[in-house]
Amino acid sequence: MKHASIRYLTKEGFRNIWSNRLMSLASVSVLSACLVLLGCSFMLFANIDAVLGRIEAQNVIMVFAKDDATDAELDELKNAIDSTPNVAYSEFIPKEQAYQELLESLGEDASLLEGLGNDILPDAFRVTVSDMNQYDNTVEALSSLDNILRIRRNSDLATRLIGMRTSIVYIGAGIIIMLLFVALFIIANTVRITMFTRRLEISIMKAVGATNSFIRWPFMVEGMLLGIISASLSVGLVFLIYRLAATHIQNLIGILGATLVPFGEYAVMLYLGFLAVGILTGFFGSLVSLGKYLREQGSVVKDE
Amino acid sequence: MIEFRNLTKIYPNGTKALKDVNIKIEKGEFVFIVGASGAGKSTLLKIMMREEVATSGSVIINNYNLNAIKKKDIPKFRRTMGIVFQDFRLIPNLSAYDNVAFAMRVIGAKEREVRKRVTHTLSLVGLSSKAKCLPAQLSGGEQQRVALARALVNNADLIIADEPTGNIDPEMSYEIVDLLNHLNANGKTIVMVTHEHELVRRFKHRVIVIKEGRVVADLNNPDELDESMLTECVETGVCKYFDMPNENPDIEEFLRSYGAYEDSGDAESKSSDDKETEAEKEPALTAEGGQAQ
Repeated sequence: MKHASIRYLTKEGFRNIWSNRLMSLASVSVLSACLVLLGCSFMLFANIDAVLGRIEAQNVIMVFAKDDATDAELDELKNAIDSTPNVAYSEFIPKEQAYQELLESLGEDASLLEGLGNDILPDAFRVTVSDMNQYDNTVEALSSLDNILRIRRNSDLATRLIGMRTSIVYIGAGIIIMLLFVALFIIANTVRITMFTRRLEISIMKAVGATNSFIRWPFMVEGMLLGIISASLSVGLVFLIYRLAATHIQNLIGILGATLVPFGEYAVMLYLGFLAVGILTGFFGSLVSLGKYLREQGSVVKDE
Repeated sequence: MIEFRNLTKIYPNGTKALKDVNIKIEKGEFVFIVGASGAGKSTLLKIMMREEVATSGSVIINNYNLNAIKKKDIPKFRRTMGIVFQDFRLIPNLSAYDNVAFAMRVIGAKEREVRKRVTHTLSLVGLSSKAKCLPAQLSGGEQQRVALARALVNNADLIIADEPTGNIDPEMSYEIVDLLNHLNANGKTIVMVTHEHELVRRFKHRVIVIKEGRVVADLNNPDELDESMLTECVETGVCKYFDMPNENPDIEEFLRSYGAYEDSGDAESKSSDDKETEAEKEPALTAEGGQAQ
């Protein structure tokens, strides 16, 4: 295709959007509605994932050292813990610090501990694991180390968290894929209707001898452009909805000790994703619908 | 330029639209294709535009064998002809100028060339002053002239007009055919499908009559058609050229509806006996066609 032709056809694509503004509006509305749904679902799952991540991060294994362990043995133990597979990091909590923390957590009831020394608790290591799926294996590996009094584990919570997270991932992915299909289906139909309303133009193009690529190009440019407009509009809408929702669910999330994921963190990713979905659905929607239309109608010159 | 040899078209539902059609149209000819609706005219046009493919026989137009043409060559083939439709087929939101330019732009013509050709073609059809008007602001005749300009703008040598006067009043119809006539005089080949007998008689060109998928007459002079038609119909009581119930006994009345009896304004007011006498006296057409030219 000649350079001048590409310029003309691209210009035509832009012009067509305005000429067929009602259908363009319909296409942008449908695509935006799908993208906003997609974006809101995405933000919801991002937040659920962040809350779970936070809970997971707090889910530590407490490794208590034997009372008679020397400083050198404690150092050795720390090294051994750190080199155990799946240990993200460990923190040494001396018995004095543990006592202070206990006092703080008891608050007014701290008087109960009066008269007892600050060495009633053993030295301990707070161990954080990297992969919750390997939780049990890690506990087992730690148990085999020397100078360990006992290990306090919270595998119930761990198991539940793993289950929850897996479900959330599956549900989230399922819903997003479903929405994508719905978006594709609706967009393909909208484009088809657009093609149908423009069959006069297509038939004239064919009658005067325009090649199929010439006929397709403006429609594809138009489809992609509608995709870009929809993507930009949708990101703005998701941002507004998120801000509105944030004022209401901030407290709820706060109870779980988490804060809402900031929109800015995901804005670029979301916009790029929307652009990809918008452009691709616009492009392929036009291509498939037009191809189907051209094939179905054969070499339409007149429809009687 | 156009040659149909033993052309037969049977649609998938079994309808035999064309049966053993043999037509040859030379470069520079003006041909009317007439026939009642359902006679097969549209199928013939569709085959000429390569919208439909013949079931058997061969079709050669502008050196393209339409039975063997490759898909990618169809656009190229279509550029060798200009098509005018009964319903104008103008894009409503484009001006007359842009409607004509559209035909050039979609085949990749340069804008400078588009400007030159469109301006020239619009002046050719007498619409320079209305170049900026939208189709809705033009009369039926003017819209058809825009459509004609669009068919001409790519400089095709063959113009196919599918009942171009079907949607416009008689006065305008003459103007359109006159314009086609003028183009023909300048070397274009014109194939015009019509069912308006009056036009056929007025502009004396070759006439091909199609009925029930067959070419029933191929005459060089419409008067010849009327003469032979009348004689044959009166003799046999059956008219094969136009839609008429075979059992219709009033053959004259039917032929009169086709304008077979010229200057019959008086006759119409006379009694049926008088009409008979009038018909015997002057069975064929007068030279109105001649006057028109």
